[in-house]
Amino acid sequence: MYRYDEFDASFVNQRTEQFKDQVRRRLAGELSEEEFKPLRLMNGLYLQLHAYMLRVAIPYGTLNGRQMRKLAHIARTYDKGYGHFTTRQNIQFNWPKLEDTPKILEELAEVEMHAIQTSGNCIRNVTADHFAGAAADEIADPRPYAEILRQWSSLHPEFSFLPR
Amino acid sequence: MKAITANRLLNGDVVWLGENGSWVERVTLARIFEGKDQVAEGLAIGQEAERNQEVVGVYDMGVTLEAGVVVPVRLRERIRAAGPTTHPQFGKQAQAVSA
Repeated sequence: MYRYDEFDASFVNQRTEQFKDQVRRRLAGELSEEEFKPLRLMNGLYLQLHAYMLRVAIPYGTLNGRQMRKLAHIARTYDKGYGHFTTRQNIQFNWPKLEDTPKILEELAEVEMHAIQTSGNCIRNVTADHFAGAAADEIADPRPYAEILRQWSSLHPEFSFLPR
Repeated sequence: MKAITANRLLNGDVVWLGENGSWVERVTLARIFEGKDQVAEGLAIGQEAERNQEVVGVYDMGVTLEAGVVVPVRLRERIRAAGPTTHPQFGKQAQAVSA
């Protein structure tokens, strides 16, 4: 399983700090909803019919036990005790509070996870067979290729504002 | 016959404008606005609340009275007022029924 190097860890932590400040500015009235909306969407935070929804990426559908436990912890601590796994290999928490989302992102970063590019007109989470590396009849393990794609597409300036 | 609705900024909860400019958690407690002028007044109160970081996405919605109780007209608004149709154990429908 891919492990974050120093660059990955620093990048995700910086992004979390940046979002924490954006939420602070929104709650303080320094940012309007119009200004804040594209910023929260870049961090996977939607405002839906009943509440906020945070979509967390699970790159190529691979989770380790520590990450799975962290997702359960987030569901219990900040949500209503559940999340929805999506067909595009994300998990969605359907009831987070805006003020809690920076803390949730901090907790995700502790286990090498984030919500970057889980929304918006960009290259989304890279998906693969969730049995990759475990299937007995596997011809080639797609995870190294998926990881290369993930790194290449993360914050790629040419693919951050694609047309719909 | 209209009510003014939005989501609370802090937690995203669905709320309606009630009496005295407060935001209530039950559509049954929503203030009723009739006629263009009253609705415009309600929307102005809502927009002020948006500027004060209380709520987001203020708009007016059609309501009707059924046996004296305020009920949303459109299905979308009925779902917002109740909670997720796929999870009856969550949302307003799961909380104590009152008003």
